[in-house]
Amino acid sequence: MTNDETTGGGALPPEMDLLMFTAAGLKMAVDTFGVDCIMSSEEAQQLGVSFSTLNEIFGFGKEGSRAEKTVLLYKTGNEARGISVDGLDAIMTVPTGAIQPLPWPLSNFAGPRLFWGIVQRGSDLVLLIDLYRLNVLKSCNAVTTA
Amino acid sequence: MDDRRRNDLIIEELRRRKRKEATVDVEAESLKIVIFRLGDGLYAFPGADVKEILPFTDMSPVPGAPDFIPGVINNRGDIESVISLNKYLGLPDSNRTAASRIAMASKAGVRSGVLVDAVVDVADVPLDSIKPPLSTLDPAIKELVTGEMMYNGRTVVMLDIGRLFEKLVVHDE
Repeated sequence: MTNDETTGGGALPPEMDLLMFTAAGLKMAVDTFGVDCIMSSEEAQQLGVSFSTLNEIFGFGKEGSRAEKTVLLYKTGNEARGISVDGLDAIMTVPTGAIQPLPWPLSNFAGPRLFWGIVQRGSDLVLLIDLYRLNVLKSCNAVTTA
Repeated sequence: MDDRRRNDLIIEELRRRKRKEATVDVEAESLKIVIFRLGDGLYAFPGADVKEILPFTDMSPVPGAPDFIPGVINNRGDIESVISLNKYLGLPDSNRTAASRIAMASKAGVRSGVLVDAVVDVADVPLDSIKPPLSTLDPAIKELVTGEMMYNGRTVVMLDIGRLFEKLVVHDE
């Protein structure tokens, strides 16, 4: 798997628009190219959309209510899937060259590999979620609201 | 004994002593080590494997990482992992204090930060002062130990950063 798959199969552009958000208390982002739409968790539940929180995906343990969260829907064939986040932050345009891969030895472990890179924003390090890998993981271990 | 004979003897003795000193210098081959503290114990890495020692800085945790990798840091623009040796070796976790340090270690083409409770000293020690490790060491630590030495009356356990890194490759999932 390459990051090209996350960005639609083309070569990486010189810049990327990243949708920044907070989830599980951490700063994260996804490539806006991979996000279909944004809705509330209530709307997602009404539409029967399967979504997970990052706590559920990474096994952080039980977290608070899944309500009043924001759900990012992303492209996965004909099926809509989503991840819920605590709050949206901003859309940031970053030079692709400013994105660093996950450092060794973290890159050896399957869990962290759901993040394809890290970018610095002020004093924060922002983890870039690989929606392709996330989808593969969720296919194996889907959590639905149904 | 005339003056000439006496001078010859003195010169000869001085030369002998100098040769002896030179011999001692060669015999006392030394190794630079970084001595650090984990909990109550003293440990050391070869100095050649430690590129720099950073003050403790807040780490950004990465979900899904093993518990002995508490996070990543930004080291002058480079994102680096940090390994908690306490956690990896199964030692009690320590509170972060002003003395906590992150040793940036590099070996065999890979590098990572290693979190320690304090750096005690950077010293040159004679190689022959490093003795084989005790067989009673905990197995988790023993695999990484290359020897033991005394420092200010306390035992210092010499660790091989290369073995630690090799084991992390073995952990590859």
